[in-house]
Amino acid sequence: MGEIKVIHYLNQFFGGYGGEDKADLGPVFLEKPVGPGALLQERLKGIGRVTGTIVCGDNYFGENQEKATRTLLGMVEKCRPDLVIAGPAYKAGRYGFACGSICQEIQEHLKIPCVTGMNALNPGTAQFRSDVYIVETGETPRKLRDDIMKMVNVGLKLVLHEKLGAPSEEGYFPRGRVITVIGNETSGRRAVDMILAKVKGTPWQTEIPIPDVEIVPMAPGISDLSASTIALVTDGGLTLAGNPDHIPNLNAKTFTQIGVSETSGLSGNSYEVHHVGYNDAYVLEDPNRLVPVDVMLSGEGKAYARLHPVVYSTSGAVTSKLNGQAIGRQIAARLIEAKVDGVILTST
Amino acid sequence: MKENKLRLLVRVIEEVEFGPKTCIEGAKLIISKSELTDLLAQDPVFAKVEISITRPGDNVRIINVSDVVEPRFRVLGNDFPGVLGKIEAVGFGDAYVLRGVAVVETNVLGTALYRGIIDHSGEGARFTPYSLTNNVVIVCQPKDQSVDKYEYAWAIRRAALKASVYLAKAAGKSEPEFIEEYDLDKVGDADASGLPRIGYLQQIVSLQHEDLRNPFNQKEPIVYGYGPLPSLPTLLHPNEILDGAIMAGYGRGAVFSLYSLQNNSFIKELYHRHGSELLFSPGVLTIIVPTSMEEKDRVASMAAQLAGSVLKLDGIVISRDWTGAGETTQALLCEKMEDRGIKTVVTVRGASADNSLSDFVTIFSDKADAVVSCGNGYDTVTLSPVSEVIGGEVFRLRSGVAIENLSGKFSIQLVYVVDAVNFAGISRVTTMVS
Repeated sequence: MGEIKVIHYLNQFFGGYGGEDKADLGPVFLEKPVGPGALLQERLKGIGRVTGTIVCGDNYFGENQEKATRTLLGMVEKCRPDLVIAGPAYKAGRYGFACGSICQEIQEHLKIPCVTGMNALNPGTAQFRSDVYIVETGETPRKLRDDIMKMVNVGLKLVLHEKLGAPSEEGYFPRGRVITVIGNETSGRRAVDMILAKVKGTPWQTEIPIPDVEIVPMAPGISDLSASTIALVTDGGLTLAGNPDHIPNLNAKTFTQIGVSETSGLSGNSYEVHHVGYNDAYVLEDPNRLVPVDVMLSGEGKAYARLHPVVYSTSGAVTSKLNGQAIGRQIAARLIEAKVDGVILTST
Repeated sequence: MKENKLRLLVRVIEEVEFGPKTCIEGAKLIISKSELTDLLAQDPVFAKVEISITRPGDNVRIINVSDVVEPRFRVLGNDFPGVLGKIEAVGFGDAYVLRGVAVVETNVLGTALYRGIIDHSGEGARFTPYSLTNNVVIVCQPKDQSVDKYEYAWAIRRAALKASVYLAKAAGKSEPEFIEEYDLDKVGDADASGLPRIGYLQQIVSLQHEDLRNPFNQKEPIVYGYGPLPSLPTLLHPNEILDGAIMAGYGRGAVFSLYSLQNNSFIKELYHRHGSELLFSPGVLTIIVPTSMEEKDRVASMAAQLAGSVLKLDGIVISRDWTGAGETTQALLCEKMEDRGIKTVVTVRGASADNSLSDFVTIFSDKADAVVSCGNGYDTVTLSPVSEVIGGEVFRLRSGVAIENLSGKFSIQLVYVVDAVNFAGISRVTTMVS
């Protein structure tokens, strides 16, 4: 690879145009490093250079996002850089948004690696960290040189397809990706190291941070249960014989529907179970064990009015969160259309 | 006072080949193919038994692996109590070990719950420890292709264990290269003061896949042979786990091999530091993972009680089995232990097919702040082409799909690479969050 060409994106302030008064500045292209770009240039000495700086006002970007993005993409495409560095934006929210957004667009449309930098409190961090490499900075440019160094180091590895180290080593926010690696020590050794550190009170680093839980609010209660229609939904992988909707044993992305006869419930059809997580012998013997249609039918007209005559089923084994949510939304749409009031969700 | 010391007399084996008589010459194990084959073929379930030797660097793929066993022979006898030996406590005395040799059990019906692949060369070899061992591969064809899958699993289990003892017996009364001593009592009370008491919890198996009406499922040897499994947490001496008292159950060997239990890395590491940095609690908490929520609450509460009031632990490593039920139980155990002031490390495996952190585990407690990853079972590795495939004609994934070109190059999830993701801590496969 020859000289590495880098484009630097800055806002009106770091670009030297002014403060808030110049936040409406439209995109400007300068064929040289500007402001903190000098530090970028210094770091690149011998391997590359800053071939251009794009300056854009934070308000201009925020209020004309589509137009600004088109213009900026055009400017970058014309330069054909190997790498784009944006910011660092520190705590500035609009600047962080612009940096994160433009990096994401350049990566997606121009396939050029990008790195930006901002503080953990910058809303741009939460918004873009999964998709863009964001180096963690302090709240102010006090350590600007260090921040630029880290950003360039990450950027160069991306450009040269070198293996990027862990977030804590390289200084970027973890992106919520997991990569399989073969380490130096067995998990047995690492577990004992970690328990000793924890018990002694010396620092340790968890290998898997537990993700935050999204609390799903409960639906409001059924106002008149005696008039209500209740449906049965299951993730136990029950399907009609032949598995017409091809529900897989695990990693499901879809669901299937099983009709329920008012008079004979689930009998009159034969069934299969597609689910790696349990022994299906008992459910194949009597599917009412998984979806209690028999009990629900015998209860019609008592506590509730009726059982919805369709059972919705999928396999809940190793379902990804996104797929689970998508399946749930699709089933919910059918339930709403059928004016179902409540659901009993059965699992294994 | 009865001895609780286990001594493994390790014979280091570097080469294995077939020969006229089973014996050890220096670092070479010679196996009489006919004698071993005849021994295993006695089982009425089998029509035919084939033994192969595969070696590090061979361009060979072993498929349908249902378990791996290290050759061991207890001088006091009684190997694998309840399966081969009579039911008596183990975990003490001398046992010969052939280190560098692995007996590989295959299930040619393809019905092992977690069936796996061992590649001796190429990319896949990096992920399994058995690319580096000399493997004695046992392939047993049943007389009846429609034999009950549990009956067949039971038969191949017994065959692998018999082979393990038969081979280790070749060590005779020879001099071991070295001796591994497992003796918790070596550390007296005086040395113990000031050291943190660290324990270990092992989930043995989950009940969710069992069909206990099936007589051969009932005969599945797990804890000292077969029989109803304890639904209450219990204590085992760590040496019992190392010495063949427990197994992970039929067909779970691809992720929790008997070999890995015999060489349990959590136990070995705790032993290494016993008396110097920590006091390894003599009671390993063992649980069977139950299926109902109430039973999970019960087993977790009782285990935490034992850990706190009886074992008086300062910290504990909570390991697991493969299943989601095991993971839920792990989370409960972690919370209840931490609530009692016992620090925990939780060892997990990932279930993320698309490399996302949010799908890695279903543990959501903020008390699980010290997590070790044993690898992501759903990440893929691309296996390199090989010249030879042993262990059957078909290898089917858990989705039901069969691998098309078995000797070719194909991508497969890590759960199918034997002990790449392992719950006795022996693997170095892990996860970087990026």
